[in-house]
Amino acid sequence: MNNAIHILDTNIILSYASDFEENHVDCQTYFSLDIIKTTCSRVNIELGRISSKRNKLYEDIKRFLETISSIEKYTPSIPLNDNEIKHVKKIMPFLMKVPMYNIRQYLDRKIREIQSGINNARNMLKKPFIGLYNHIALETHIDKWINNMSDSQILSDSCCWARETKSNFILSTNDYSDFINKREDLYYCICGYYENDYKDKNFEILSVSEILHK
Amino acid sequence: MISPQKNEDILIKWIFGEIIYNKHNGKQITDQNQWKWATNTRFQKIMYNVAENFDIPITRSWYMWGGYIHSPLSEKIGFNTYMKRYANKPELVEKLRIQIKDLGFNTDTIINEIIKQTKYFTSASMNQILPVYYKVKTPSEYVLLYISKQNLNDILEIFSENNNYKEKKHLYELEDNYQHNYYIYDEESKALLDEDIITSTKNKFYTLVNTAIDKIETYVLEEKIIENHVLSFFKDISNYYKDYIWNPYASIVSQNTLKGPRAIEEKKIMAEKEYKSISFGSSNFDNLTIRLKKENIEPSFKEYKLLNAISPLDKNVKEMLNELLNIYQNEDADHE
Repeated sequence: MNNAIHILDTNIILSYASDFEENHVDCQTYFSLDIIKTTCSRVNIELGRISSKRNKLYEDIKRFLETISSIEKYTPSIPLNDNEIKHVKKIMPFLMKVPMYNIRQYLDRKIREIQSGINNARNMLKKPFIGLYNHIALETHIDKWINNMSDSQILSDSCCWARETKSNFILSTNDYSDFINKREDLYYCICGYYENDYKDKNFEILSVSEILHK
Repeated sequence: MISPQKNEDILIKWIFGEIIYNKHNGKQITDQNQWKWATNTRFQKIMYNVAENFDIPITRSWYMWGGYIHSPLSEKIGFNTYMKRYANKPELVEKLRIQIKDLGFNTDTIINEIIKQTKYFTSASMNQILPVYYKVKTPSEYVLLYISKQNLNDILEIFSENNNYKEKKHLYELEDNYQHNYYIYDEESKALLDEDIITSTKNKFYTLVNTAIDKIETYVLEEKIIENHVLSFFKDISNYYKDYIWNPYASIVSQNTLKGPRAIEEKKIMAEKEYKSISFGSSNFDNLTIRLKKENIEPSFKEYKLLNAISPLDKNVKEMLNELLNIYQNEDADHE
């Protein structure tokens, strides 16, 4: 396990940085392990987008609280599904008693905490492939794989999964379904990376908790 | 016949000279230590109020610190030059007084007002006078803006000077005061100008100041003396605030309140100031960010977790806000 290369998906880094996630504690322990961790460019781009979009939340809350008399007219500034909108509308009236400046300060600091966690996680990532393998080739394959599967992403409960190959190749993500649905894609991606016919399809699927206790 | 511009120039110099003349009872003053009371801000206020009370044709507006006279005498070099000139030669003021009398002004009444205003504006420090002055004298639509901007200015100065908070509650009060005033300032200034560049600079500034305040909180929690580089960072924040967060709006207020013989020309100058302070503010912000990171003023991930855990906000409220953040976070990850 210690020699394995772990390739991290966005949600692993977010789970480490944000204590909203159920597996936050596990991910923190996972990050403290002395293992080689890396990620791909798409994940970095995605993390950047997530950071910049958070500021809309404060404006949304403010707008909501200012028009509290007409709750039904509230529309969020980013796409939310019906259940999430209902949930947001349920929470907002409780916040009315809190001064807006306190809400803003808390959200601002919380967002900075998460950003600091993301930066911390990024600093712990290494580029193990340079000199050892063709890093660019691997990154291209992983990017391609993640891009291919993005259409069918289904976020499961916050559960962190990893897949390990016998050649010490692990991809960490929260989404178990990705591995089930895209098993063949991942396999071919790895075959391409190793530039040979990788015949052993006997992948092992592990949660972070399993990685920690294996 | 004297041109209106020349007329205005003489009037400004005369009122300026009379302030010094009457404060020192017409005596010659060569020792600069005796002028310590004579600050540009004080002179602006006195001259503005006198011009207002007698409707004297002097170009003026409500600007950075309240009443402002649009004249080279309001600039540092002009102020120092004329200060020295009239303090050294009070007879020059007497000559001006005769000229003003000839123009038809009741100099005795105006001098009495100058004495009254000088007395008021030298009765205490400007930090003590300004909050009352803003409440009473600011044009009604800008009262909240000026009070909140002054409070923010004072709080940032306290942050740059206080290296030891004996009790945590003092820091929390100051922090709460800052948040409260910033919220009012943000709302009031948006009503004046709500454009992307300035809004973005203001949002970044808000976050930067909060980050630095959080760093101070970590020192206080560990009962450590706040290091000089953090205090000096607040000094720079305070200057940035005046030049780029306050100046754009002050320039707009000035354009809206300008009156007097040169109001049209001065409006153009103030519009240029507004434009420059907005664009320079945006480009100069990076220097502060670089310093924040380079000098390690940003709290660590571990420190943030601690600060959020002990935040005085009610536990239920925190949970609700965390839930909201979580919804937005998942939504971001899901839809991107």
